[in-house]
Amino acid sequence: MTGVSEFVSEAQDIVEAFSRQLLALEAQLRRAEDLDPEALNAAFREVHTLKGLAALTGRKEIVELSDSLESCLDALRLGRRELDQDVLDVCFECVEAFGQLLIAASDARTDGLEMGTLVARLEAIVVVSEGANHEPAPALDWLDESMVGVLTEYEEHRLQENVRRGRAVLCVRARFDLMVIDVGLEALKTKLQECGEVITYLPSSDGTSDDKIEMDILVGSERSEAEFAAVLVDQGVELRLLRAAVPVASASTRTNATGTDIAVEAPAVGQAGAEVPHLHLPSSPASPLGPVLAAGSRAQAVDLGAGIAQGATSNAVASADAMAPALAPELSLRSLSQTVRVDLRRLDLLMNLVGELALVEANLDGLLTKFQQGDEHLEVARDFRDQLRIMNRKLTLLQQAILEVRMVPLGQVFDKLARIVRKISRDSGKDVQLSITGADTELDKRIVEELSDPLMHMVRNAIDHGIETPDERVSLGKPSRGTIELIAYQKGNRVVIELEDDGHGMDWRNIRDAAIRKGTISAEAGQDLSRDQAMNLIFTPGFSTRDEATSVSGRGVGMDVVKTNIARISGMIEIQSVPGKGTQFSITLPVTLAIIQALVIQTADQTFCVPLNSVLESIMVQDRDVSTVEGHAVVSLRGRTLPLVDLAEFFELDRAQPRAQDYVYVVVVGLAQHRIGLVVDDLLGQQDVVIKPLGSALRQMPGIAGATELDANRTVLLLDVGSIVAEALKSPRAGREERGRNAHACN
Amino acid sequence: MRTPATSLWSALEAGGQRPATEDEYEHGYQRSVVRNLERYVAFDVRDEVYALEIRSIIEITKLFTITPVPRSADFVLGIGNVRGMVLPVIDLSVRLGLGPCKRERSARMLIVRLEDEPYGLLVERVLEVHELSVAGLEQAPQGIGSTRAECINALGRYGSKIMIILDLTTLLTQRDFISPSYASGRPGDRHLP
Repeated sequence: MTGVSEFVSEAQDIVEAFSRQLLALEAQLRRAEDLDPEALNAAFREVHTLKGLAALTGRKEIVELSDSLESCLDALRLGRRELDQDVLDVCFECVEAFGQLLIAASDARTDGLEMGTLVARLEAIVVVSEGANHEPAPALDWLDESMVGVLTEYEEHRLQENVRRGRAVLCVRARFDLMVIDVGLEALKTKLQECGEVITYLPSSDGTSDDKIEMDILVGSERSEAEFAAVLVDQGVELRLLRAAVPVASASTRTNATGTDIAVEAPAVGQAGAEVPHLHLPSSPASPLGPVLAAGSRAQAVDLGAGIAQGATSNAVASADAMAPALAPELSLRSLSQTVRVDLRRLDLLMNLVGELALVEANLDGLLTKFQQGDEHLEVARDFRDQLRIMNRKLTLLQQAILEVRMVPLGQVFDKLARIVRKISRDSGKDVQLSITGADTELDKRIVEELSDPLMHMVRNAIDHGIETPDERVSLGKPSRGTIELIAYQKGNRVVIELEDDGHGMDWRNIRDAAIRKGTISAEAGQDLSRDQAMNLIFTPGFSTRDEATSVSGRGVGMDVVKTNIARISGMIEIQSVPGKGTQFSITLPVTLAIIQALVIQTADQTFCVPLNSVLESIMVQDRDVSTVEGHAVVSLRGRTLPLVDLAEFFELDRAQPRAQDYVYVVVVGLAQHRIGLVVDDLLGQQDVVIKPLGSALRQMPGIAGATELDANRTVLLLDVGSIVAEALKSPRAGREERGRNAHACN
Repeated sequence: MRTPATSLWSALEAGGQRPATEDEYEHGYQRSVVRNLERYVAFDVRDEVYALEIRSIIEITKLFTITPVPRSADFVLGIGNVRGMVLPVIDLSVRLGLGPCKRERSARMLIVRLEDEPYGLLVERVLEVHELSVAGLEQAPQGIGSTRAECINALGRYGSKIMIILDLTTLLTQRDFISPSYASGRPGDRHLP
């Protein structure tokens, strides 16, 4: 069981990464740039890894598909086949197919997902490429014999490709300590990739000692050797030009430029371990995970000027220390997002522990209060209080740290959306680009997971119904390519996600008329509708059926489900639309669901928590100020009428004795455009609470979102404001004459 | 030393005796007689003996504070908190249609696990861990036709009494937890296509 789920999650990561590479390649293709060989190679590697993984777990279908895909990508990266849109399409289909296969794998189904046609198409690509004619490859006779012999087919191809483009080929020789060669080599490669393409690296033919190893790194680059030398200064490497850059036009005339050796000397070469970056764990709290590279130590930063060959500009003389920060972020980020995989249940457990610690603290506090009442121990009590404060601070830190572990960047969902946009826009013959901002905004893993379906649905809607066909757009004076903008940013302790399209928008009057026609609202009610209220009609369940006759044309398909899904993760959704210009949805989400601020209330001797992010305000209302409109209790608040829902009545709670006071508290809650007042007996305060699920048996309980612990082991229910508001607005029961509740309560 | 031993052996055999082998000394004589023993936790509900397989029970605790959950079925007492774990608590007696459980000093909470989720079951008294051979169980008789009958897995013997072995899956059927008038589900339960 866990084996399968582990495989699926890992495979999903790989497929995601593969699809990211494809998207990058497609963007390059579209801009008619030179394709980045590394992206293609990375795509190839991902598929290869997937194949290995699938073979290990015995997923035959995935092995077959990835095998064909791998051969196809191999042909591409070896230049036997040009990458074009058709090939990319097939590749993207493979991504979808992998998705389906993985779903099948996680459901432990083995039955028929037919991959035959896809495999056949992949094979066709390979076959075509093998038959293709190619210009003869440039000879490699200028390269050392021993080196040519060990090049792989791919490396040879890349080398020739570089020659064909007239780039210079350089050989960088570096010595590494055996203990840290992986880190050192990686750092050097990153450095080299800034100025060219790393074609291969081989152990050098001579000069290998017991604890050191010498590597020859072949780099193709358009830069001059002098520029190279500048970049590689103080890396402790030796640079050799194997082949000078030639203008592309005269690429056939072979210039045999050998051996203008440039020695780039570092002062510390030869001192054991000093010439390569060290690996150490950071002590700074900012990057708690993943190894961070720090190159060298300050001791190395001796003046290098004299030892550097010609061309090393003075500003390039950077100390090893200065380079460290430039290298560190990227490397640490990579290891973080690729290797940290934590079971959510383990984190939940940690969370539980912290919650309990907080309880201990609360109990200690209570104890202290008692203790202080006898005043002879005042001194001790003060110390005790200090300790308590320290513990409290530590607890907060711990809680914060654990919350951060749960955070994942929204990019995880956005990547998937990019693929959806691509697919749907091609299917519907529209030209759409997705522009993403703020993919690094972080949210609780659980929220990110829950978000993907609603977002996907909204993106689909935007393309299907919002954005016009290219012809229409041109005739409207818009650019032929439509744009969907996805913007995420943090705003206080919320995260806002905006989804905006530049399609034809929606006219609120059309929505209103459609709603009246379908009987969602009465004609009279329709006349009083404001623009915002009309817009929100697209979130009503009845509105979701497509009505061909209207110009809104089914916009809002399933938007009710989108809204409830978002409400379930305590989010709010708002909509703005300008006819002819486009539509903007704005989703506001809490950063985490695990800990929220809650308002603690009491009614009919029971305590409940209300998530503070759905509370607008709370007010005290005298009984005499409550009036009735058509049997519904209402109160007038700043000139507006607020419908009231008595919580005790809503939940049919037994009241031991009638309420004593002649006033009530009204908690004004709202979701999207709707506002209601929850009538409660008392407000007990505000506090951070750790939310716990009720378990699957009670999860569907309408009106209840979860449970939480307050002090002294008291378990309290957390209200689901969204469903309470929805139910109150729907049912005639709600808001019934508030003062009649005592009679009702003896159930 | 060999000769007397051998002669004793043969003497015994000649006398029609079957001496114990070393293996039998090691592992006991009647080891093969009872196989397939299942261990059950037996408890009282309304003076009848009920039981659950021991492996479904995580622990047995004294009663703890229970927070009532509005709109839940009558047998759902509410939710409780056992070491940071929130779990639904049901009154087994009400669940079986026998009226509310007597909450005396002997009352206990059985914390059980079903499909990786914990539940608390209120019972009147926990008796003991009882071993029974699976072969000795009877099928639940047909035709009792009550809520209780659906929850019965099998019947066994507990001394002179009948021990009713309960079926946890039916007992904790999730759709039953929400009071019927609210069980229609809310719109949010639908999933996106």
